[in-house]
Amino acid sequence: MVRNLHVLFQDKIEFYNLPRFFMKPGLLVLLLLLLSSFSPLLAQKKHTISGYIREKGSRELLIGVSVFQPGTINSTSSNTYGFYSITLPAVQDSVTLVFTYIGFRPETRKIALQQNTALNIELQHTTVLKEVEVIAERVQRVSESALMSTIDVPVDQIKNVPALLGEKDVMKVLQLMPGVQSGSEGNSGIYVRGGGPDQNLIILDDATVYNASHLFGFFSLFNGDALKSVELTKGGFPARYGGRLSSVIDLNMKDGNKEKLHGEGGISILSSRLMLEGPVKKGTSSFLISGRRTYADVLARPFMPKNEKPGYYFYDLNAKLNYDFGRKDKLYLSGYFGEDRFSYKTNYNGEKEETGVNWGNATGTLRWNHLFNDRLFANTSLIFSRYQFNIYSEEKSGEDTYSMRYSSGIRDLGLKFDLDFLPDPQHSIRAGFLSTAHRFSPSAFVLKDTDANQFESNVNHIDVVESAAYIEDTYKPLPRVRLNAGFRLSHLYTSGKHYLNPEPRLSASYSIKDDLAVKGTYTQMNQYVHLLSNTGIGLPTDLWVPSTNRVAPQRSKQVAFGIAKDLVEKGLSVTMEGYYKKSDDIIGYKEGASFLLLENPGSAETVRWEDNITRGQAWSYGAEWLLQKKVGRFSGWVGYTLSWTQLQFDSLNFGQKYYARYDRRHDISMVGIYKLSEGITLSGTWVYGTGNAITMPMGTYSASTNTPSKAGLGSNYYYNGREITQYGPMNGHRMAPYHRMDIGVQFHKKKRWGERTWDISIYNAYNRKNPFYYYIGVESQWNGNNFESESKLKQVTLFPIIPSVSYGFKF
Amino acid sequence: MRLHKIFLSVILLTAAIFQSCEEDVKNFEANSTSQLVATSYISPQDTVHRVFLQRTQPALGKRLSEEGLKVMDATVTLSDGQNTVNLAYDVTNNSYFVRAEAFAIVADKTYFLKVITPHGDRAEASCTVPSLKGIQITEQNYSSKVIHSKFDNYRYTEQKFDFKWQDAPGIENYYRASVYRTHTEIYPPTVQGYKVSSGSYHDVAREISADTKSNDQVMKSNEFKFISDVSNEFSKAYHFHMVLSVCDKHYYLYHKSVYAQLQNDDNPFAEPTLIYSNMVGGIGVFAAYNQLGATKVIE
Repeated sequence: MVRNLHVLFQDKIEFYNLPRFFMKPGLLVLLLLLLSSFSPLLAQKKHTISGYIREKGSRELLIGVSVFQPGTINSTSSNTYGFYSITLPAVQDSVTLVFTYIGFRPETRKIALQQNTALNIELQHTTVLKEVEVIAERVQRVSESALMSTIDVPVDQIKNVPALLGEKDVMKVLQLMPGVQSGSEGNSGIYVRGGGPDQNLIILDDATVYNASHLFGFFSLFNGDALKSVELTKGGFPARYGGRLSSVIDLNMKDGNKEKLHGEGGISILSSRLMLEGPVKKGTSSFLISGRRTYADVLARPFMPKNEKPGYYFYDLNAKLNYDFGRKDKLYLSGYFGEDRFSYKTNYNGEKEETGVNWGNATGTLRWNHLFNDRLFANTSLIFSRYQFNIYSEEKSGEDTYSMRYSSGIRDLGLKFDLDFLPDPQHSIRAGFLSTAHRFSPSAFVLKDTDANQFESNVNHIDVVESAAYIEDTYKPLPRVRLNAGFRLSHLYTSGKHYLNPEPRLSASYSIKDDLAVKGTYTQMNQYVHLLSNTGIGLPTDLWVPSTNRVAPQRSKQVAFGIAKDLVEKGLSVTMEGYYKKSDDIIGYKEGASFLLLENPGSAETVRWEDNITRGQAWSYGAEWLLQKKVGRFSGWVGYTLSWTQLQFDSLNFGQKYYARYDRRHDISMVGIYKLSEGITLSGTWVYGTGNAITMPMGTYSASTNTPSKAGLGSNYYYNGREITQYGPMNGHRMAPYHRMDIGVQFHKKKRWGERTWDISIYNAYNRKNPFYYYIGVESQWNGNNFESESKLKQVTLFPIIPSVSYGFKF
Repeated sequence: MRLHKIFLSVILLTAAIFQSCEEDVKNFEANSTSQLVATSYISPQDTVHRVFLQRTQPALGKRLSEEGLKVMDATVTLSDGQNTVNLAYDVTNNSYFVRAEAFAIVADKTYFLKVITPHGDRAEASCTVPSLKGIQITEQNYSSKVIHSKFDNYRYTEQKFDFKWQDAPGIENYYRASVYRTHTEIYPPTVQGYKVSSGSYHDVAREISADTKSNDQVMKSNEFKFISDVSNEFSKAYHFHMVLSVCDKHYYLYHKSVYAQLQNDDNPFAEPTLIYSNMVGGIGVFAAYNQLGATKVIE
C-alpha cells in the first residue's frame, strides 16, 4: 500500500497544500512547547540540566559528547551544535553527571538538582590518553546506541592515516570502512552497500555537495583542517535524513577559535594549504578561513613552449563566521567554494585558441540556533548549493571569433527547520522539515560564430521542489531496550506531478549484557535526484537530473541485523552486521548513450536526457565485520565485507540481471596508527578487494544487416561489412584483485611558535601493479613472408610505489 | 571537435601527469577462440533465402587472415519441421542459398536453421514468420518546401514523407518502416529518360520500432526527408514507396543492438553495446519478417 501512496495522492493533493503543510513550523513548535511545558506536571517533579559543551581553549562546540548519570541508564549526548539537555527526577541530594568524548579528558560534575540548571562544560583535549585512562573513562559504546550501520571517524585519526601525495582525504578514509568501497584506483568516490556515488547524501553544514571530488576523483574536496566532525550512516537511517538511497555523510565545519588566533597549514608535493581561525569579538564571535590550491601549473609554466599554455589547478576555500548572542541564540554563516580548472591556450601568428574544462561547487549556509527552553532546541538553516560543469572553446582569427560553451549543473535554495526536544532521559525527540527548490540545467549551450554569422543559445532549466517533514524518537522503554523510531514524509513537485512517499524508519537494540547488544533496523528511502553516469567513477561530466513525470523516484528498502560488542578493558569494539537492500526505479544510461546531451556542437541537436536512460532494479546483500580501537597509543581498525550487488535494467543486457561493475565479493581493510613517542607517529594501511567486474570483447565480425531494397518488395539487400564487436557477458569478467599497502611516519616537534610536523608516506609500499583499466593491444611481427599480428590483453597501472613528503605546522 | 574528445584529451593528459605503466595480463580467463557466426533473414517475399557464415576474429591471440574467417564447407539446412532443404555455397556472395521456389516460407510457420562445419562447430536457431493479419497502411503524409541555405547560398527542395499503419491487436509486433523515392529524369537529348532511385537522409535505427507502448494502436513511421535540386526542371513524378516489414523479435533486437553499437563505437564513455544473438552453439541471428507495401505518386 505504501508503495502506491504517491499514486493515490497524486490527484488528490493540490500543489499549494503540501508546501503549506510543510511551511507550518509554528504548529510543530507550539505542540512541542506545550509538551515540554506540561510533561513535568504529568509525572513526578523533574528538573533539567542543560547547556553547551565546548573544547577548552578554543571554545569550539563539541558534537556527540556522551553525558550520563553513573549507575543509572540516564544518558544523553550533545547535538550538532554542542547542546545537551537531560531531565532528571528531583532529588534531595546532588546528582552526578559525567561528560566523556574521545580524545578529551572526561569531566565529572555534582549538581544540586533543586531547579532547572544551566551548565556549560569545557573539555580538555588530550593528544593521547593513557591506557589506564581508557579503562577508567566510559566512552560512547557501540553496544549502547540504538542506531547501527553508523561510523563516526575522528578527524584527528584522518590526519594520521597515510595518503597519496600527502593529501589527507576524508573520503578515502571512509573507503577503509566495511560496507564502503572505492571505485577504481585512487578514486575518492564511494560505494556504500552496493549503491553508486550518487546515492550518497554528502552534506557540509546542512548544504548538499553534489560533486565531492577534484582531479577526476583522485582527491576529495574536504579539507581536514576546516572539519570538526565526519559521520557516515550506511543503513538504519534516522528519519532526519533522507533523499538518498545508500548513505549519508554528514560533515560539520569548525566554528573557529573564540579565544585566540590559531593557524594550521601545510606544504605537500601537490598543494599548499592554510587555515586561520580566531575571535572577532573574544568569547562571542569567531571566524575560520581555510584554503588549498595546487601549483603544478605554476611550477610547469617556465618549461612550456611560448605558443602553448596548458594548465590545470584546483582550489578549495572554506569560510565560517559565527556570533553567540548568549544562551538562547547563536548565528552561523558558512560557505565552501571550490573549483577545478583545466585550460589549453595557443597563440600562433595572432590566431588565438583556448579550450578548457572547469567544474566546481559552491555552498552557503546561514544557521540560527534558538533555545525555546531547557528542553527544546531549534535550528533554522537557509541553504544554498551549486554545482556547475563547463566545456568551452574559443577561437579568434582576425576579425572573426568562434565561441562555444556547454554547461550542465544544479542549483539549490533550501530552508530547513529542526527541533530537538528532550523531555526526559527516556526520550529524545527530533522533528523538522526542509524544502529545497532545485534548478537543474542538464544542458546549456551557447554558440557564437561571427564568420558564419551564427548565434545559437539553447538553455534548458528544470525547476522542482523537494520537501520533507520528519519526526523521530530515540526511546528507552526498558533498561535493556533502545529504539529509534521515526517517520518521514517526503514530497517532490516536478513537471506538474506530485510524488508523496511515506518513509517509515525503525532501529532497535537489545542489550543481552552490559557490553553486548543485538540490533535490527528497517528503513525505506526515496531519491528524487539522479546522477547519470557512464563511468561510475564520479567524473564531473556526470549529469544531475530530477525525477519527472516520466522518471519515477528511486526507492529502496533495507533491513539489517547485527551484534555489537564492547571489550571495555581492551578499548575495543566489535560489530557484525548483515544487510539486504532492494532498490527500485534506479536509472542508468542505455547502451551506447553518451554522457553529453549535445554530442556535436556544430549540429546543436540536443538529445532529451529522458530518452537516454533506462529504469532498473538493484539487489545488494552481504555481511560486514569491524574490529575497532579508537583510543590509546595504538588505534585503528580491521574491516571485512562480504557482499553481492546485482543490477537489472530494461534496456541493458537484454533485460537480464548482471553483477555491478563494483560488485566486490571480498573487501578487507586494515588501519593501524601507533604513537611511538611524543614526537613520532607510525601508521599503515592495507587494503584488498576483489577485482572490478568488466565487459570483455570476445571477437569482431562483419555484421550482416537486412535493409529493404529500393528495387521493391521481395528483393532485400544485405549490408555486410560493418565490423562489430561481440562482447562477453555484461560485467562477466573480473580484473585482477586490488591490494595495496601504505605506510607513513610523522615527526612532530614543539616550537616556540607552535608545532611543526614532517609527514613522510609511501603509497603502494610494495609496488603492487593494480589494474586501472584493461585494453587490447595488437602487436605485429614480420615472419619473412608477411606480417603476423597478435592481440594481447594489456593492463594499465596508474600508481606504482609513490613516496611523498609534506610539511605541516600549527600555531 | 566532438565534446567527448575534448574531455578525453583532458583525462589522458591527467593520466600522463601521474606515473602510469602497462604490462601484459597473464592468466586471464576469457574465451579467445574464434566463434562461428551465422546470419539469416527469411521472408515470404524473398526470391532467394540466404545464410551468411563467417568466423569471428578472436579478441585475443593470433589474428586470422581474411581467408581464415570464411566458412565455405559447412552443411547448412533449413527446415520447417517436416521438409528440410540443403543450402548451396555461392562463392560470389560468400553465402549459402536456396531459391524460394525450392523452399517456401509462409507466415505463422516456425523454421529451423542448422549449421555444421567439418571441424565440428554447430550453430542452430529457430524463428517464426510474423503474420500480416490485421496490419495495414492507413495514412500517408507528404509535404515539401524550398530551403535556402545561408552558408553557400544554395536553394533546394526538401520533401518530407511519413506514413501510419494499424498495429495488429493482441500480440507484440516489431516493425521496420522504410520509404524510398524513385523518379524519372529526362535529360536532352535522351527522350526516354532513366529511373533514379534515391534514399532519404535519416537515422536508420529509427526505422525499427516495437508496439510495446501502443499495442493495437495506429503507429507512425519515422519522418523521411528527400533533397532535390530546385532547378531540376527535368524531374517527372515522384514515387514514394513505403515498405513495412513486420519483423520477429530476433530481427528487432539484433538490428537495434548492431545500430546502437555502430553509432557509438568511437565513444569510450558510452556503455558497451552487447550484440543480440539467438544462435545456439555459435553467434548471430536467424530472424524472419513479412512485408507489405504501398506507393504514393506526387506529380
